[in-house]
Amino acid sequence: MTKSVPQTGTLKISALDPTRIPVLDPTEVEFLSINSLFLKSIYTVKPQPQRSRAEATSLNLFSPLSEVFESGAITPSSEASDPAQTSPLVKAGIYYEVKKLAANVDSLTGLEKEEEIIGIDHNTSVARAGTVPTYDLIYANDTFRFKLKDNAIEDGDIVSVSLNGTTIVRNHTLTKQGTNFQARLRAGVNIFEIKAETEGAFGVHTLGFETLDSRKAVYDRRTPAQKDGANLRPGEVIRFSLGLPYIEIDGSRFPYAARHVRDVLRRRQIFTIDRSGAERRRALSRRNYLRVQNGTPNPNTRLYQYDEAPPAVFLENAGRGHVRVIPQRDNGGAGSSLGQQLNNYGSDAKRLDNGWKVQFWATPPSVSTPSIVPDVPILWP
Amino acid sequence: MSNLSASNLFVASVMSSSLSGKITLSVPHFPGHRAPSDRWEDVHYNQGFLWVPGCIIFDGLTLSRTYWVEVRCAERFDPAPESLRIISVPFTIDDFAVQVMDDLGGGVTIHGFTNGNYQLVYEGRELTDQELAVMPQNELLEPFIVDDIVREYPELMRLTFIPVEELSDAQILKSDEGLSPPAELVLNRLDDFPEL
Repeated sequence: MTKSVPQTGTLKISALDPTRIPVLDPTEVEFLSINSLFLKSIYTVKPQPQRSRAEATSLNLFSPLSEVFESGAITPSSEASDPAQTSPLVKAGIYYEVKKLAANVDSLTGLEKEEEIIGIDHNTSVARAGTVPTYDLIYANDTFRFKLKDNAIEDGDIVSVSLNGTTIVRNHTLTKQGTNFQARLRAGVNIFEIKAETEGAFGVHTLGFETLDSRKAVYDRRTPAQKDGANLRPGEVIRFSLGLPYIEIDGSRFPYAARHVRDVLRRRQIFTIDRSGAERRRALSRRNYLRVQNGTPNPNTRLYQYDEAPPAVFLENAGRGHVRVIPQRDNGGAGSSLGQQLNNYGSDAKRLDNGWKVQFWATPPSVSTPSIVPDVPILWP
Repeated sequence: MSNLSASNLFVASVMSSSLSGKITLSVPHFPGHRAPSDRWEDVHYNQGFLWVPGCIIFDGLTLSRTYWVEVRCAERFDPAPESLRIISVPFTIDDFAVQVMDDLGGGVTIHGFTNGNYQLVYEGRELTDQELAVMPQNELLEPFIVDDIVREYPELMRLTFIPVEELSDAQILKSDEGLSPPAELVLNRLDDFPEL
């Protein structure tokens, strides 16, 4: 694998060709500040009433869907439809496909263990560029925005929509113009269903369906029917699975970093990418650890580093992430892996943009991870 | 701060590698997802870099993870005496440009190179208060100081391209206490990372 080279010695340079050295006018020298965006977006947290950790976690991240709906997360809007984006009429013969896919998705809903619900097959995922879920749609936002409309003549077709088994749009009459909705996704796999309730006056239920903010569709494996809608008979359902990009710290490769994530986050959570404020949040987290929480300083900066959980690249770190001293190589490797996943996600090496949301978690460490220095209390979030 | 003339300074840039502290330099067509930035093994940490054809990744000296990166081209190697770490590696430019990237996907592509073989020399050290005082205003360049507990300064990472007829071996010309170089420095092939 390697090429042997001497460790020391003088640098030997062959005869030079002076024409090979470009000479620039000093006025042309570029002084760049490529990260000029940094520090614009330090995440500020409004003071909140004290509440228990469990309560906070539940409210923030894993609210039952019914709570989310009651809080107004599901809201129809009346944005005008763009005639230029009218979905193509679905051709005849799509029914079988719709039903077949629905049956496939059914198999996901029976899974109950947390690691299975996330919808990931660790044996077949692309290890290099992140562990990519097998959802039909990987969508980089926890708010899924979509449009329902009548693809043909507006004749009173009625549909209902459910997410994860809970009805979120009940008996909605399709219009030619269409109506926009949004639904809050949870971490892990989500099952989205559109059910044809009754057909209109002209006898065919011509459902038009559109995913809004489609730029955030990082990987879209949906069929035409799942993407655009289909002609349906009453009672038929279009169903697909969706969820956020999954970013993972591999506990077998980076056990200390993975242990830290699991200790602080307790379960996979949804975070917002914000590269520009990462260094600022990292510094604030470390300052908080050293000064406020009276954490033990790094005893050997050659061997150990400060690790923040959640990682500072996520907005929700908020400059007060939990800090733990862990081995340098574990910390650096996990950071590089995280960067690779954010910058080159999945088999197509897609960049996940700032402001997009991901779900983040770590697999169990493969070895024990004894403390380097005493841990400070976990106060995050 | 520099003993090289400004005429061969291509780029000076603030870069932050918040996640890992590593800076990647590659030819522009080198696919980012094939950069072995998360494939470091002990030997790479011990020698301070990971090299594959077309791409080299340098680790920082300190915990700072913020860099003032200078990219130069010079006829001869003229090391700054204050540099703490000096590493020389072979590098071939085949598309008239190189790119320097942090680990968050930020970076800059530098055009104007002549294609050919180069010896790429990395020099690293911490910036001083005096140097920082005259540098562009940039919050990333502020030292991280917490009372008497921690003092970290951004690092100067100087990357100098020296044209050569034939590629030379990799060498550690100056080692600091953060390195424990192996008896034989390791240059990898992309095939060493089949999963990339």
